[in-house]
Amino acid sequence: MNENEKYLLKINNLKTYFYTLDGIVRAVDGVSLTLKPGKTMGLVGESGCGKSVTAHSILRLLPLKTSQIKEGEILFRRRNDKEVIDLAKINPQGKLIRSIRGKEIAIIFQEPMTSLSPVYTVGNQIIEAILLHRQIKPQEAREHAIQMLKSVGLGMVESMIDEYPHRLSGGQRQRVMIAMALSCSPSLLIADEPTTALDVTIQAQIIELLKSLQKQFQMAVLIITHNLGVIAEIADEIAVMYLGRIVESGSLKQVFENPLHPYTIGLLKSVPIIGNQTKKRLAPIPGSVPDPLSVIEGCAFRLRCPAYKQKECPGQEGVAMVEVEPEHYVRCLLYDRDEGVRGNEN
Amino acid sequence: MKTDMTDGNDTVILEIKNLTKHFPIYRGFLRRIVGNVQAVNNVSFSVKSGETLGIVGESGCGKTTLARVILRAYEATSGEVLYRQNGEMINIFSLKGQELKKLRRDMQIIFQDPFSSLNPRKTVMEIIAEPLRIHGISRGQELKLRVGELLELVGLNVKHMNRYPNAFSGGQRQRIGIARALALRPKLVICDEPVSALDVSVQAQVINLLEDLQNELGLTYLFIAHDLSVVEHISDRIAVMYLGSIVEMMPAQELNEIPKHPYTEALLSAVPSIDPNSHKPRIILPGEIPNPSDPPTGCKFHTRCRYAEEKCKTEVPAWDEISPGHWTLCHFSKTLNLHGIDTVKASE
Repeated sequence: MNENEKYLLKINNLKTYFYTLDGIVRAVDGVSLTLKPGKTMGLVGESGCGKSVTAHSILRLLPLKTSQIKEGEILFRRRNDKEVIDLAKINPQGKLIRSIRGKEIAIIFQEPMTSLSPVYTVGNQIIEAILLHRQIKPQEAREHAIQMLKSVGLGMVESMIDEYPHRLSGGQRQRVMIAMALSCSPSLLIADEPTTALDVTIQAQIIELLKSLQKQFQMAVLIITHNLGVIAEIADEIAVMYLGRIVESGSLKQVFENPLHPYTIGLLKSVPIIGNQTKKRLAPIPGSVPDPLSVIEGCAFRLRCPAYKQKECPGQEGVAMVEVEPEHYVRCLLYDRDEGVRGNEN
Repeated sequence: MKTDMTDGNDTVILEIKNLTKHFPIYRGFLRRIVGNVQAVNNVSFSVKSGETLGIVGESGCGKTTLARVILRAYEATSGEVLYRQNGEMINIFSLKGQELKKLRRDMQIIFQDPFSSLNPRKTVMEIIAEPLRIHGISRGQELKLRVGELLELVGLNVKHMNRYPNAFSGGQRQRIGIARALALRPKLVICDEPVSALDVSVQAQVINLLEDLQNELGLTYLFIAHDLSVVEHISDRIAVMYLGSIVEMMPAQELNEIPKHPYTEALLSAVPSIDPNSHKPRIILPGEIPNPSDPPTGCKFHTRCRYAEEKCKTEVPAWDEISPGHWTLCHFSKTLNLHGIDTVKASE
């Protein structure tokens, strides 16, 4: 990757482990990714692949007692002084991370039903976020909150601001969450499965909203989802995760038109497509995601891989990321040839 | 692709006539009825033996209520459900006691959530054996053999018979649920969102399994889901539901080719496409689904329909067959020129 290129967020070899009674869960096991300002990165993978843990590691929202960032750095370029800080090293309960959370990096969660507090009005919750980060009067904060609710496309905002969340539908709550997340104009928005709990027509509304707000607010978006369609609609770049590692990354076009990793190919083949005249059988990936407690040597996908090679794949070392075409990386021995430029991370 | 049971090709196995289910809303000390949630409203359709009828719609449109009324888990407010048993169509709402129990052997359901639909304190053996015991079909060694057979049928290891559900992944649990549904050799299986809680790769496995089982056992499916692409893939015919009514019903291949109801068109355009080159114009439906206890007058969809005219606000449209097997509930189905998704892939 070009060093001169300005990144907003750069994660290097992040390892986040959970310590459970049954053993160590390597939820994130060496993730590296770079997010440029104003761009949208899609992180895609099945449940349990570590995509949410990656997001929560960035904001240091993980449970303190049972989890730990074992290795790696999360470099984030701050807005004003342009200094770069390593989020992985700072105190997760300290002042610094609190000044970043909600102000420079905001997050939208999956469940619009549970991520708003039921005992405060919508307005209260947004105003609280604004007052925490900006020195303005409560009245001004309220006006700003009304402004934000209007910008996410909600109607009758003046009366809605004093409603409790249970009066709103799922789509409206998700809009409130987005309004709250954007109220301090963050430079990075993390959207963790923002549309999974919503109906398709409401999902379409939210996707369009996120796209237009991104342009308006000039922010970078890290969108996490298992839905390949949502990713294809919104992302500029994609990283595919499997068992705590990124197995393929590249631009949207590269990954969808020329998928390289057997896992990516399998994922794309296993979704039914509307209008596909021939009712041919779906081609699922055999087996299921292995137990998170297990340690798989060599390629983690080899147990389900159709291109499995008995000799090479179970090797002692992890498989390296290979750059097959410019900016298109894959972690698979099929492409580990001399013509491919080796990635510098493992 | 579909094997036929006993009779001719077009044997109707299930017929639903003007089925309505309202849930009363009680208020106050005297529990007076102040209104009704009109969950299912005047729905009629029939299902042929060996086919898959897909029912698609957003949450709250009444698709699960419909399934439960058909199974008599809820009592219907009005209407009839006729089911073919021994060559005769019988009204299942008139059945009682032993007759009803006999009917239940023929109709089974697969639930959405594989995590809450299996009793965590029972082993897989006990879960699958329960319907066989209740109906007194087999016991002892024979029961064990039958459970083993069923496990094999759905692709699970017979050795895992004595494990508890928590030892299985989501996809495997759904297979246990399928084995339980098939234990009594039913003819009609209602699949209520059977794959929506599963991961993409596992979802495809379960869809393939359901298709294989249908071919092998000659099952008839009523397949309920909110995911249009899954429903289109598995179904022979599709019914689109909105606010308690079926608004369009058609052979599966006509869903995308010639949608005739504006709601179907909007649903199709809302499905995110995995082709990054397709930049179809998206129809964004304004607002939300209206409250089913106070549905709009006239055509229920008129509040969100971009083609709505004055007539739609007052007159209820008629259920009309506009081409063979293609029914809609819209005043303007014949004149509107609606579109599905552009299926031509730029990469090919």
